[in-house]
Amino acid sequence: MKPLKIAMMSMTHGHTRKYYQVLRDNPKLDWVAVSTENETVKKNFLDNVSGIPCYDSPEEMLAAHPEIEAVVLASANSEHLKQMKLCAERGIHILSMKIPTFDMAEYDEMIALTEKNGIVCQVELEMHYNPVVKRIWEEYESGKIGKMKAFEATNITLSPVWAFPWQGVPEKSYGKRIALSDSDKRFRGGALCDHPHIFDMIRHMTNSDFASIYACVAPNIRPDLEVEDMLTVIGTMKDGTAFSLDPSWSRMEERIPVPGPGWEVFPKRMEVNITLHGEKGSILSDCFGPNVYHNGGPDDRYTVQYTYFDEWVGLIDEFVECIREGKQPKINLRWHKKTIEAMNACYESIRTGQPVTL
Amino acid sequence: MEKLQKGLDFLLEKYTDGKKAELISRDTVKVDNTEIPLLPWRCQRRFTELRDLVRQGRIEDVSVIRVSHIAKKGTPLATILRRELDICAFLLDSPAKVQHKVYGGEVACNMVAKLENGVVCTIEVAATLPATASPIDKHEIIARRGVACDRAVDTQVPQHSVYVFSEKGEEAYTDTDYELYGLSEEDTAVVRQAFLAAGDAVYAKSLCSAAEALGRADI
Repeated sequence: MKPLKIAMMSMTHGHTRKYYQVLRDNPKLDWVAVSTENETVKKNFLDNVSGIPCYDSPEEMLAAHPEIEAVVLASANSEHLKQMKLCAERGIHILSMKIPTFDMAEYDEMIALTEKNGIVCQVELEMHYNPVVKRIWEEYESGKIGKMKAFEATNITLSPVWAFPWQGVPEKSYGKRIALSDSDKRFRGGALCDHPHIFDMIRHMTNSDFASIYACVAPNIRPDLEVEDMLTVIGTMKDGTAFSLDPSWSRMEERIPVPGPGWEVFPKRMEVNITLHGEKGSILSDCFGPNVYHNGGPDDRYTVQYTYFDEWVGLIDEFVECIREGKQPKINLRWHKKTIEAMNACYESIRTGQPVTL
Repeated sequence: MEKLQKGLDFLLEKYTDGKKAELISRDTVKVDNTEIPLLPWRCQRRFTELRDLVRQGRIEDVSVIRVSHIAKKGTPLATILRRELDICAFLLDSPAKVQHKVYGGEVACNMVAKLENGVVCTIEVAATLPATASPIDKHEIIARRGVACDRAVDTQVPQHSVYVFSEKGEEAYTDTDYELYGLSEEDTAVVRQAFLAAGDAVYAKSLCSAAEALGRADI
């Protein structure tokens, strides 16, 4: 198979660094170029990666490299539509970050744009390529716990806003500045916007869609943020499965500008735990554990050192295969739309204090 | 119940001047012909320690309490919800009000409650475990400064103090009380609370008030 000529745009997304290794190592890829959002991001990239041409704007990069076949949009949510247009009109395939947009009119425009231009647009929901998730699914499918009655999941992390400031800016993260409610002057665009995975995963595992959603925000543990950082979500799926989802930034961090060792204050910086309750039993899982532990540098704090983090290998393999074989990725814009609608329903429930029926 | 009554009699004999109390059930103790409701989890050491972490200001500005509890199949969900709602109120010294709940048939329920002080509580309960299994529960208090939890970081199931591996298979023990050695963590809490209620009228009254509040909750 001819290696796919791939590039990256903006480099401001928290997942940017995850691609460095896979874009270098995967023989199916030829990493052609990147464009960076600003001088700080550019310096950070050049400090970490050498030998890849780096441009100051996506337009400049695309003009210099007409051979580019696919692009990873590693940008703020507010940039996605503009960058998708740049790609689509050139017939360039797209790997979008996990939130294409929260604006459903924009979302439909993205679908139309990619379908009209006949390009692959895969959404980066890497949990689908996690071996623990695969095991949960196999165990559930075996029938050991019977029909699923409840799904509970955490997708809790530290807050990335100090390293990736756009994630704390409502207009860049949510797309607009909207107060959480009349009585709560925080704005949409915080932790919820960072954690679509569990909203997607329950749809995948139940093969059903959301029926009702109740969401509730709690006091921020970072009072200086203008977006929400702690919330809880419960509800039911159309097949009757009850759920509870925690998409909070509930693990405290040091406010450092570049992620690295010592970022976490709480020993475990990220957790995705999924529990399934069935008629005949339960499955409990930690998608990123167990790990190794240390209290060495830089702060001598007890710290969870992760031992597994290569979801991007499978994700990129699927992306390349879909492009070369003209297939549709499972996590495409149409599939993902109902996940985004559910996340918007969370904000609506927070606004009204009532459950929302979908 | 006989073992529990024996433990209670031992404590009363050791520490009081002939005070008598009768354990009617694991939920009720009779003292001076008055029945006092028991909420024994309030005497489990892990919950008193968690509560003290908040009271002493070791963790500050609590935002959220997260609870999960998986019990044996057949356990009424209302029984688990009642316990966990009371634990939330107890940990933060603030009354709890149910905001919303959803059921997964008869085996699971997810509930959101709010404490009077604004703390949001998520309570996830299920009754799916086989008869031979021990309950799996976890209580986590998340605050602006600090997280307190009764389970170790990066673990999914409760740890025990002692593990025995032999030809008989695996056995595990968690002994928490020297005076009541041999009783389980839960049974120990029943006896300890009955003893406190027998000797402290103010404490007994507080149990009555808390039980009444739970009776009014939308569980």
